[in-house]
Amino acid sequence: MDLSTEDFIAIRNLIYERTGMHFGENKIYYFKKRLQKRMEINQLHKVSEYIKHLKFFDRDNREFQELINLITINETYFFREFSQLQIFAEVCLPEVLEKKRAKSDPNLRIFSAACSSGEEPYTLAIILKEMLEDFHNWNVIIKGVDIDENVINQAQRGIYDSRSVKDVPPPYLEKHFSIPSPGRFMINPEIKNMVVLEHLNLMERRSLRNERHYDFIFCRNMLIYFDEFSRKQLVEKFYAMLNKGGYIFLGHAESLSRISTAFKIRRMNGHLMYQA
Amino acid sequence: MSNKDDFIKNLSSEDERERAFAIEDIVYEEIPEAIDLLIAQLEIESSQFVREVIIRNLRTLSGSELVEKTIPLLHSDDAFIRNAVIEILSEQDELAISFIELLLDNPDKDIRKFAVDILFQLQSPHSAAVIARGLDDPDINIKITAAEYLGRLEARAHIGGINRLFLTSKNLLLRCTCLETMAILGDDESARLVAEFYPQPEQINELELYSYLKYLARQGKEEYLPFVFSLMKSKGKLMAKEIINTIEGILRRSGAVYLPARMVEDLTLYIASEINVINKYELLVFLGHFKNSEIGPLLASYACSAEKLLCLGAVEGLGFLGDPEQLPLLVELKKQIKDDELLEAVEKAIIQLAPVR
Amino acid sequence: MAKKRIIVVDDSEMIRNFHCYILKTAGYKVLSAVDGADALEKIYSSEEPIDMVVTDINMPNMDGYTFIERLREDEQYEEIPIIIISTEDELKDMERGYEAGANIYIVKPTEPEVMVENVRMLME
Repeated sequence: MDLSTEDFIAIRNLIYERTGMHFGENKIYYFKKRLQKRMEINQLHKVSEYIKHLKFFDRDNREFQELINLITINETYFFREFSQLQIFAEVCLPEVLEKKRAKSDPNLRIFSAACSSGEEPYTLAIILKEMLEDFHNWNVIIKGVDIDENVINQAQRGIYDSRSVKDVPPPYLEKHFSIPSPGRFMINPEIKNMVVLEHLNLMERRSLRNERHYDFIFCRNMLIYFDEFSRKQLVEKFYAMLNKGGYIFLGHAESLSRISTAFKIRRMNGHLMYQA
Repeated sequence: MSNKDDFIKNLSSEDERERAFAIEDIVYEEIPEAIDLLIAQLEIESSQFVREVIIRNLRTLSGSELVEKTIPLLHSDDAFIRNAVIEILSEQDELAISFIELLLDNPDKDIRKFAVDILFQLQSPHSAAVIARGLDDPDINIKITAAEYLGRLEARAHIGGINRLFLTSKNLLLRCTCLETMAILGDDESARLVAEFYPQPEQINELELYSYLKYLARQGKEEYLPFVFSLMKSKGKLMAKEIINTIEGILRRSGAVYLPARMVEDLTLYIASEINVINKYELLVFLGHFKNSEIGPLLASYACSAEKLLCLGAVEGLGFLGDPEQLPLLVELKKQIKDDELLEAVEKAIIQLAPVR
Repeated sequence: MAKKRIIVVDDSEMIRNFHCYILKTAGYKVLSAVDGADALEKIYSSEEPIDMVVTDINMPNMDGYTFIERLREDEQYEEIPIIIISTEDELKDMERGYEAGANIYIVKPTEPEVMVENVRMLME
């Protein structure tokens, strides 16, 4: 299939405007394949026709959402987006901790939205365990929520296969996991106990009203699955949950600017960070 | 105190969260004075977070009361409020069009401009007809905006107005806007006007050239190819995107199977020049659609490039070209490649060159 | 000497492109943004420094005044030259623009030569 640069840019801009997701030019082939799939399903032969369909005829955004589902990678695993976690651990976390120490505030709260089978909240727990020298002085709560009860149950069990742990630094794998059977990895109780898991529908009107004073919220690669309106609604809820100076983390290809301008942008080690 | 009183009290809370929750509750509980309350809060609210909550909640409402009460905010000194109102009104349905159309008679040109913006974003079947009134507005910015939007809406019924404006305009930006809209909507009259206005394309001023190329990309015929190719040397890097789009557009419409010989040579040099990698990728893929004998070896030379996009472009191009002579190269390449995407592209090209019997 | 980089901010695609053409032709490197929030992100994401901002005022999501004020709040961009190019032509709009932190205010539509002259002057 031919996808001219102009059409690639047009679709890329449309996706960016509607979701905040951005793709580099090097993704053109990746895009083409998926676009071709959607075009075949819609029996459209020219990219320009497909773009027109998305702009003028896809009234309830159904086709657009199908395209988004196809171009986003839905897997979850420990230490996903390592470089971002590094900035969290080495820049954002120390900054927040320093302010808390100055105020003698021992509470540290992290929220992991759409945590699925728990890889993200447990990853964050491992990071905190490793980074906090005076760990016992802190009241750490990491809350992971998901609308799918089954994955929450899975997260409660805390047992994973080798695919999930492929990016865990070996020293951490050894320290924080046990191996109940070959190819299975179980998160240690010490880490498990740092995490509270809950079955929750983020879109329920009052679902997060009582969740307050969080220092970090992780909602990576999750907002893209919501429509524009719901996305804004969710980010507003997250803003209300955060302490002043708290951070919200999105997926590396996601940008907050299409959703909310209430957050401050900061650049840290080449990454964009959003602060309440 | 009733719930309603609680909500109203919380609108004055020092905590921006409480104010935000109050706004949501007022709308959710369908408090009759919701619109008035939210608008009043918007005008005094200092928190950007809360302002966004107000706007999002106003957007969930509809009806003539909302339209009538938010229109006056277009006069606000606060740019955020003005632009937020445009957003709110753009969500309204056909009902709003009659209100917005009245704004096109407003003596304030800024209000008229906002009206055109709202009509565009409404994307209603009737928007174009009303926007077209903007082509005759005394303010040039509104003419420009109307011309741009009619193009983006693909409102072919109004090409006559665009043609007329193109012919009579003395302003460069307006003329360029018309030209770019004519690129999308152009009819025979447009083609005649453009040919007459630019009898010698080589003499078109640099700024206008961008828009002219956009016109040629969508409407130009083969006779313009030599001119476009000549630009590769003089404006090749500056206007790479426009030049490539124009060449592709003209050649696709012509249905040509062979490129004029000179052009293969020119494109070979162009690909080797300092244009962006993504442009080179596109040209390599595009070349695969033509059957000139030099194209196979050219693509083969790039198939082994260390730059992934160049390799990819060449491989895809070879797939389109379908020359079985290049099969051994692709088979060899497949053994060496580690990248998943490249591998997939090579395998696909191999299939294209040697279909299963 | 490396080309100076200018970010052009406008919600109109036509105007955004046109201003980019003007500046590219005048020898500058350009990037563009569709509104103030997009511009902030692009400025902060840019690996190379941005040398000047050319921005509209009336834009959805984040207007030009708010954009300029947010940018100026950051020490790193306290001094970055900013030109406003807007259809708003009343004195109060210009005053608002200067208050927000703009250096030059031009009314749309501008002649290309005027834009380039102002850009060159401010760059120096």
